[in-house]
Amino acid sequence: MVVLAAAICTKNGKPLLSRQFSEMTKSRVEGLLSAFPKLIGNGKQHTFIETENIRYVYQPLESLYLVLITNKNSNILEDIETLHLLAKIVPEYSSFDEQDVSKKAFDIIFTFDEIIAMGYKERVTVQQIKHFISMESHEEERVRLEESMKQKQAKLEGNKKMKELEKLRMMGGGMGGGMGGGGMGSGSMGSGGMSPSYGGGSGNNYRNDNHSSDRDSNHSSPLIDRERRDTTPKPSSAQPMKEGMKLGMKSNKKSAIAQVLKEEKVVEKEDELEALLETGTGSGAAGGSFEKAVPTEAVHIVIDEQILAEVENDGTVNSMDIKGALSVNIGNSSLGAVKIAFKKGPTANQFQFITHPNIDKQTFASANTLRTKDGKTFPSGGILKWRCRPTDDALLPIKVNCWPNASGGVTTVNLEYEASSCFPLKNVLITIPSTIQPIINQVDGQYDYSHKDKQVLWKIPLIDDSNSQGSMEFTVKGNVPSFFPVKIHFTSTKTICQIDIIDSVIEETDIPTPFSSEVTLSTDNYEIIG
Amino acid sequence: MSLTSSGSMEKPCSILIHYDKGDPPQINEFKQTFEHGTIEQKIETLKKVILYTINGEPIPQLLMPIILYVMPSRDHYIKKLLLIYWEVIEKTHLGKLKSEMILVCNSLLNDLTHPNEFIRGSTLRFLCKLREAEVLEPLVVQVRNNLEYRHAYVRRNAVLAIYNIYNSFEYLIPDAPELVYNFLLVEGDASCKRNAFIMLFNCAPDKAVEYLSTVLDQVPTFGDMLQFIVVELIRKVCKTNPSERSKYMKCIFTLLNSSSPAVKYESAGTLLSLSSAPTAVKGAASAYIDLLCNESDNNVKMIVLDKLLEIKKNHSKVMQDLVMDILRALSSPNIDICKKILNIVMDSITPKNIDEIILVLKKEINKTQSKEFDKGLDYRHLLIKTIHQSSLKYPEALGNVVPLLMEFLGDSYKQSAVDVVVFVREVVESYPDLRTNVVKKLIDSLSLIKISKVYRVATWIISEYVSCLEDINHAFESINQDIKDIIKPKPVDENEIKPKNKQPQQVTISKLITDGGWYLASCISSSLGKLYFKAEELNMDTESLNKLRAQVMLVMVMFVNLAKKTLASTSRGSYERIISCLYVLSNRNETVKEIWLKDCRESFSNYLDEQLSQQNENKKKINKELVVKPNSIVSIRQLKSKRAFGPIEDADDDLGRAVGLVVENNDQNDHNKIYQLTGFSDPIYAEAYVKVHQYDIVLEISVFNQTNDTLQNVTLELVTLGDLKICERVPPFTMAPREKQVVKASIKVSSTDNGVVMGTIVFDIAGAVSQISDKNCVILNEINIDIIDYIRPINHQYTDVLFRLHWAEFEWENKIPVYTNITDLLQYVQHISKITNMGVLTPNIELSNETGILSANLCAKSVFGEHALANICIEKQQSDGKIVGYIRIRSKVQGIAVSLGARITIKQKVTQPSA
Repeated sequence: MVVLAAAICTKNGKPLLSRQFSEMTKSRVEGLLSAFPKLIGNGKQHTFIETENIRYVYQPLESLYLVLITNKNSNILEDIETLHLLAKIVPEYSSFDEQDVSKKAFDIIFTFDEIIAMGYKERVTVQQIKHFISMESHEEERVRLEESMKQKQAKLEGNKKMKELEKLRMMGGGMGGGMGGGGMGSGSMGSGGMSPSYGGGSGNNYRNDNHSSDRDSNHSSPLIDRERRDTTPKPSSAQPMKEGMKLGMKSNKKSAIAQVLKEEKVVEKEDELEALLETGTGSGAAGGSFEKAVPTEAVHIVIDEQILAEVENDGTVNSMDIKGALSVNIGNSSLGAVKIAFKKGPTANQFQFITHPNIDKQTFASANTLRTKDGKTFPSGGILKWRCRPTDDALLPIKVNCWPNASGGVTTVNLEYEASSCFPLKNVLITIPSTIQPIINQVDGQYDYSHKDKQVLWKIPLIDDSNSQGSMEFTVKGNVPSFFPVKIHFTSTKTICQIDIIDSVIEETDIPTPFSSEVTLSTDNYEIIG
Repeated sequence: MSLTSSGSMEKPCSILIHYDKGDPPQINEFKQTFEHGTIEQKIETLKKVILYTINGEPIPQLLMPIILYVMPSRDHYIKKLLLIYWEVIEKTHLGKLKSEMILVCNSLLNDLTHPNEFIRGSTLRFLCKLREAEVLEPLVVQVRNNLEYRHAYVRRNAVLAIYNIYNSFEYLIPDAPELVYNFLLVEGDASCKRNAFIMLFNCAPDKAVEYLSTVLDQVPTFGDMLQFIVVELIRKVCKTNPSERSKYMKCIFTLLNSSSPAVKYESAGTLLSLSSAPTAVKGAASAYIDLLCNESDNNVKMIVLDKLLEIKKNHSKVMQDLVMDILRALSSPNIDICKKILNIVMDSITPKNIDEIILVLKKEINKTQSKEFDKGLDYRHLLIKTIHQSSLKYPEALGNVVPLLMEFLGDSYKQSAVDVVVFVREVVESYPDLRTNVVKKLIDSLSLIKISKVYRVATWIISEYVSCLEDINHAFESINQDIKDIIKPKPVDENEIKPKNKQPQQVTISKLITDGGWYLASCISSSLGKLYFKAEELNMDTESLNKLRAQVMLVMVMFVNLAKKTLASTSRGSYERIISCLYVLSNRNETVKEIWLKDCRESFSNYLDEQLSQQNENKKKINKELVVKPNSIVSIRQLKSKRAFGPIEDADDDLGRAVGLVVENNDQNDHNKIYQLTGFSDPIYAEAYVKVHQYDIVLEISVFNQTNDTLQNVTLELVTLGDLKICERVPPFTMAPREKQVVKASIKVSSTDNGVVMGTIVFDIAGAVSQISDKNCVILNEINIDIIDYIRPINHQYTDVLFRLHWAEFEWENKIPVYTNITDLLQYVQHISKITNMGVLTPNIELSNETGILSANLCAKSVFGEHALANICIEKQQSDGKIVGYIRIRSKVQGIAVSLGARITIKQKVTQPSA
């Protein structure tokens, strides 16, 4: 039934280490182990020994024995399997040598703990154990990353402040607000329609490559930013605006660039460009997402991922397809060939990657770098595609449960979503077909009922850590047979594949060139069926 | 104080790592490292501290530095090591929780909400081992929360933590069964489910049953992990509540066909404990046989075979139908397995299946003759033996079997050939209709025989059972042929023998004789003599009769001559026997003829009868035990004490015994002794009470302060000689005037060897100016640890063959002359058996009492697995009635032989020779 202890001892019966899974006294364990080698007969072809009360199952490992002590009713098949697993995992951490085992005793005991829980065998593989022992956790990494991001941001902010002060000092203090280029985009949105031109301004940047490409090769660095500002020919015109902007002060790169562009008066025909932006990005996505207004650089990378999934209400994945594509737009052909370095996320190994025929497959596979084979520019359109058809729901960024419950002529429907916390999801829309207008009892977020489509619409503008779980409950009169399929829409700026662009470099000169990227994850068709 | 020291000894120990301590720990250095060291240094030092602690040298001073400087570390490895450290340290002081543990508790709380799932999991796993309610209490909420954590790794450990907390401190989570039950309903991960089930199974069986009954239909679709535990639950439920059985029977039957061998095995066992209906038993047995044939692991086969043996014992009918399936497993290359299989088969033979079985065995025997066969001669021997015994049971098959077996007469492997010839002898006597054929065949195969004993028996059979003149002639010729080297003058010439010997060592009968096989020669002589008388009986014509007589006598004379030449190696008895044969032949003594022709055979058939009746008696004995007498006690399980359960069924008890919790019920009073350690006038009086456990000895030492002073730092130092080890030092203590204290020291024993424990007690007298240290030291008497407590007799399962094998193999011999005041031989052997705890192997020794000589074999085994053999050869002297002789003790290791010898020497005299 259970393993009492797992041990390694020498052929003379000196116990090197032993882990007990039931309560035993020390002298008993030591006694059992030291009696053990004497009980081993010669020339026996089986490797277990039974005494009056216990059974040893052992395996010789060079000059040592790996022993399991079990009670006599223990299931031998289980024990043998356990023993084999132990024998497989031990050499991963130590050689079969008395001294080495003593040295690595703790590591070995840790592995024992992973394999046997209270005497029962866990179904684990060597690979899993190694993973358990290494203790590498996404969660922790994420938390750490977040922390360090926060720290960096704080630092950056500090720097900005410092620069502002410095600038102020240099300008003789008369310039007022300084160059801090506070979040233009956010500033403008935050204050409503206060200054529509800013929004336009950022929109401008979006497609206006020729303005920036020739000289703005270094906007990403605040340091160079400063230099540039020092040499800006028309500081005077920019200053008054900056004062205004300080209100919505929130520094980030994007707004800083926008700020600079603004300063330099590169943007002129705002309205026109805004219109262009509207049509260009397509208005299909639900809700006007201001995040779309990503500024572009000469090298602009678009990552687009879509989920197609059909999931049963109990969580069984009927079909699931995640498709993604990466395309690169080189705005300025004078840049020549560019190579792009990227980083794959931890889930990437579940994906199948397909590169455009012109892409050098070797550097892609070995160095995580995208470049063309012959040093040409990237082909327009996608250069990299990936796809994954997971069979379980681990990769789904959001799971929704729907529990209809008919009783007494009334059907109560409980819905519940649970988002995996690494994904901030935007514009989440869950639609539940219902022919009758329901009475909403409780809802996290907003709801609506579309008479036209006979659907209940449950909207959650943003799901992040603060509301990674939520629920809605409504009742409908009568026994409505089905509330399925429930459809889910959302977008996110993070992909499931988690491919991240690290750097883009000009092939000839090896000089990094600034790039911008636009990442979207959206749903193609995500359904929960009953 | 003394209580804590004894308490710590009994404490469960969860981890054991060997460590050569060497120096005492450098506490200050460690402190420094903890404070300023790098992570690697901290890890190394922490490991050392743990090692010291495990090995009986705790360093409580370091607890605080570790909490201060190591605990805050974010390093994963340190975190895990710390968990082990918390596990091994003493967490209480004087029965109360150490205040430092509150800090630890806080850190644990943080780890329970750590984003890293593995840290959470490991922490939860540690909580399973924690037995301090004060520490657990604040953690309970977090533990519960972790039941809902995203990662299965965390959840499955959380369930176990809840299980253990509930188990030890029910009040901390009073609703645990409810909680786990609900958890089980929604959980999807197999491992988590399994753990939850284990929890319910142990803490709230009714809940587990409730769950089980809702999912009973789905059980076959469960993963093997869960099925496994379901089977266990069913067994438990049915044990406490037999009326439920029928409900689960179907489920168990379906699980018998589970794809997982482990589940199959477990279900078969459960099924057997549930029901003894033939269908159930058959189902279980089939499942076992399936495992036997399909599992490749030898261990599995062996254990499964044990189970089958058990079934065979109780349900032999069922096994008889399944024998053919079991035989399939003979293909295993492992001889032990084949042995067990044949063992089962042998007892399950019925007239119905004997033909089939013999056929299979025959095939197996033929297989052993092919070259590439690797199970070797042992296996062939085994098969021969099996065929032999099974065919004797059902003589119908004999006609088939005997010729087959006789092909192995010429086998050079002694055991199988001997077995065959003995078998033939038995057949010839018991089945007269087979005689002629068998004897003929035997005469034909004489020339193939290469072993002295086989030849002896063969000639005996021929001379005894030959029934026509033709055969007599034939037999005589072929014997003559075999020993022609002796009869023809060639071998007389020594110059020729020698080069012949150097030729390829062909074993022939004549060579056996010239090499000193005089016993063989004497047997041949008597057989030839018998042949002659037979011929006379069968009315051979006088001429040929005389010729035969002359030839026979020639052979004998040749033997005698040869014996005279190489007198050095001639055994006197054989020599005399040949001479007497000669004499008989020359006289044609009628009485001798009578003896040879009649009495020999009679005594042989008597021997066979005796053997048969003995076998029957044994069988009867076995059968008798099964019969329940009307006045015997009806056992009702629920009313019985824990110990009284049958060994097969009771798993809990089995577990208890395995971990050493159940104290052996033996009357140990005989073994427990009190030793006086000091004199009555010493300032401290001490006596020890020796308690012997299986692998350790506990000395309960009562210490009395005889002075009117307070004694401080009373330190008991023990030193051992022999294979003993002190497990834990007794910490120094203080004694008030005239106070009595009891301290315990446990000593580990690792082999059967006489050991001596010596020691001193050192103390300071409170308030006294430091005196000469001598005065404050009491030297203790030595305690001799007796090995007898470790020796268990072996009576059965130890065959003569095994005894001889070991006797030859063991290196150490201790020969002790008998010197005793006992005058009765039997009584002496029994006395030796009693004082040495050895079992007597020789059957019917009481018979030899009348003869005045006695030889007996004794055997014992120590709990450490060492065998000790003894042979007693004694004779009662006619003159004064005293017993003289020797006892030889043999063992593999020196210790046991020496100490047993010493014990016999001391105790072989009895003070009061009992009537």
